[in-house]
Amino acid sequence: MVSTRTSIASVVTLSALALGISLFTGTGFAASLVIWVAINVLLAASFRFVQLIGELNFAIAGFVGLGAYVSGICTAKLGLPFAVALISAALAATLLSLIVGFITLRTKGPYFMLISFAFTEVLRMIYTQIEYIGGNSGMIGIFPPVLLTEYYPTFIVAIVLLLLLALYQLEQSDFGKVLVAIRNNDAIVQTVGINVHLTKVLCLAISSFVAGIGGALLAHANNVISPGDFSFLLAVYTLAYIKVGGESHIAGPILGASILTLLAQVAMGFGPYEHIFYGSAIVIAVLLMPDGLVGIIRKFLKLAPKTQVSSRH
Amino acid sequence: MEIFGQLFLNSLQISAAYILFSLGLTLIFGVMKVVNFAHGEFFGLVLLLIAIIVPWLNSPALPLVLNYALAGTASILVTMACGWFLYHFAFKKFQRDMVGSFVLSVGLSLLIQGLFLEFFGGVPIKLPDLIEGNMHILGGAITTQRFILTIIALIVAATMCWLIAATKLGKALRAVAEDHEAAMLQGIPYQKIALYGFLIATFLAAIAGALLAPVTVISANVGSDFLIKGFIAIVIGGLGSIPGSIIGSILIAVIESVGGYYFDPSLATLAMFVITMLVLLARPKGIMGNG
Amino acid sequence: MTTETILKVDRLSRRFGGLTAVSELSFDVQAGEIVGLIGPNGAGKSTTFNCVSGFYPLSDGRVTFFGEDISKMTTAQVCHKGLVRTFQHDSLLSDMTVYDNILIATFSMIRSKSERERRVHETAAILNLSDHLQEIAGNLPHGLQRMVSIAIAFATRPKLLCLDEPLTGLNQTEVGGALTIFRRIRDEFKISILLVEHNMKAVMEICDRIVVLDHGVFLAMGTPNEIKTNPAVIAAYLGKRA
Repeated sequence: MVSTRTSIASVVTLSALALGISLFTGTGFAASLVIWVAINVLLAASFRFVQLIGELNFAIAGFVGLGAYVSGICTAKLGLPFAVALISAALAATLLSLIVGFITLRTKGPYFMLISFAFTEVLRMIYTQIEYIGGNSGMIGIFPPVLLTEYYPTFIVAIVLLLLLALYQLEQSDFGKVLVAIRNNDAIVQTVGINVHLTKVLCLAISSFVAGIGGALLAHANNVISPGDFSFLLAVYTLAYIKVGGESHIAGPILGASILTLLAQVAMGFGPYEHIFYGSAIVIAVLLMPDGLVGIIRKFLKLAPKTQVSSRH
Repeated sequence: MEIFGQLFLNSLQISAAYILFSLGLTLIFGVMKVVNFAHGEFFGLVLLLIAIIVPWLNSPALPLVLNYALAGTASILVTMACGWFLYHFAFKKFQRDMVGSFVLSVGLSLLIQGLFLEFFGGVPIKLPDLIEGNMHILGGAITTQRFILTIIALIVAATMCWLIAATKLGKALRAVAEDHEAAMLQGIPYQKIALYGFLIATFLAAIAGALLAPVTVISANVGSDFLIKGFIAIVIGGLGSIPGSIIGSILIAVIESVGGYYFDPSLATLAMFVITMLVLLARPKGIMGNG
Repeated sequence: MTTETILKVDRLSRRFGGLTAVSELSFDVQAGEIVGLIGPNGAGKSTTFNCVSGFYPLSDGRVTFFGEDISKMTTAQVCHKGLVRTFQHDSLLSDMTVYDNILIATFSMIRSKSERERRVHETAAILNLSDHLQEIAGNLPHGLQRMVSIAIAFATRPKLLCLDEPLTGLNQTEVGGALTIFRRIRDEFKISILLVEHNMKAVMEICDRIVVLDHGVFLAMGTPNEIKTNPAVIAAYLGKRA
């Protein structure tokens, strides 16, 4: 077993490393790379959080998109401070997820996946119909505050690390145990007096809070957003990061998103093979390394294998 | 009255394709408890192959009908082989694992579409009409070839339903779908039946492609467009239920044709998604679903 | 000695589509007793159980618990009133440790962390699970898994513990051990027990009273001796292969 002190030490070291690297990347391609990796890690962690209750949250693109658009409106249209934009994005996504989650989490498994997918598409189509936010062409002119432009990568990495820490703490807490219990057998959890439905809704809300912030960070990084950015494909790519990285530990999405984002850049050098790349990543991961990179590392370090639950649907 | 006739005809043709799709998806789900998100790619493969073969074989000496027939047969056979391949190397390991098989199929769908895009290019193709002329039925107009192809598709679908209801193979498929362990105890060779189910489903998607080739605009991601609708149809109808999948397909087809007629197509799609959400909220396991 | 009626089932009926699973069933459970619910296969025992514990809504009739109507309450609400059930299949959290299995049950009942820990250890001790707390529940032998599922329910310290075929698959020694634990739960913790069981010998041995169902209809209620000699009950069991 890896001792707690070693774990904490390595986490602190790696975080410091990440922050350090981000400080030196300036504003060029390297900076963009750091930003993409960081945001993808965040989205993957958000998606994974809902896997604790055994669901695949294909609605994530909807909440990322909402966060992006709300923050875009705050910054580009209303000229509000960046902090306000970030917070509004998070709150909007959380609020919407509470409403949507309350309704849709009555369903499970493939039904929940479909309804989430439908929700994402509905939102996307709504965006294309609204002139104020640019309709199909999207919104432009979303820039982070001048003070941050130099240090935007570092800012993002810092926020991502904080949110990852928060998600990790939640997962390790009693609340996290209840989530995993729900995934195992929600009838039993109900029997002992816990309101399973509200707990699931809360789980989705937390995930969406993070996704909303991710969307806002994304919008300010790309400076331009359009409805097409927030489609089902976003959720599928996020799924790829998790499958490659491994689901059983929060390090999984971190590893998966980092490695795949970097590899995708390399693959892109050979041509527009994005679909083939991500598709193969998922297929290979599912067929050959079901526990992801985290699983391989566990075996390598001879740690006890985490039992993997397949959804009981 | 004329509008009603037109809408009826439109719905009929659209539903024919969706029914073939959703029957296949239901079969796979019923027998293997697998949700195959890549199912549409069989349809797409047939269309793309036909789009390549028909112009290639085209010559004054070869009647168009024969050309299409040859292209169709060849494409279906190739696609069935691919189906066999996918079954053995991918889906067989993920039977009864709904989440795992879904994730795998999502990856496959993405990969295959990427490959299609690579080999086929992004330019959509429209093949020459097989049969010329229009027909007028019930006050609505429809091209003759669409009408004939629709009827053939519906006959295929009906034959499939009969096969499942009345033949020995059909009974075995249903037994496995209901309780695969009990079916095995009764001596039903489960693996063989699962393979047959998968191949029949592949065939249904393939023949849908062959029948729609003359009337569809063919592009690399045509399969996934159809698949989403087929997927919606089976989930609304209730996973694993054949009557459910037919009801779901008809519902989707009607929404699409009515929506497309009175509003624009993207609004129709929006309506479809909203209705999907409403149906699932009222009946979380689909209209005919019972898990 | 005054006895209090804690559970009163009053003309409970449950229909599924055209099928009537349970019809006009009435019985009660008194404080401090173990009541058995028996009947041939298909008699409607599980359905009754599910209705009483809030898993199915009732088609007709009422269930009152300590005088309060719980017929329309959800399972979670019913737990807070003091009624908890176990399951026959899928009865525990198989990928979590025994400790966590029992811990989950304490969340809605106890606020303090140290109190919860104490409750887990106390519960485990009664169910003879103290040596297995760190093992993954799904890896335990069947007999111990049954104990875990009872522990989960018992950890909430209900007033009525509803056990759904708790003795299935247990050998004779294990059954004896289980019955001893049931007696302890009744006598030391003053918890009443309602149990559905097929093991006739155990039922006759442990129950204070027995309710017999057949074809969804009430057949008889009484002490084990009364039920053993009841001609209608004997006919029902001999008439079908139980």
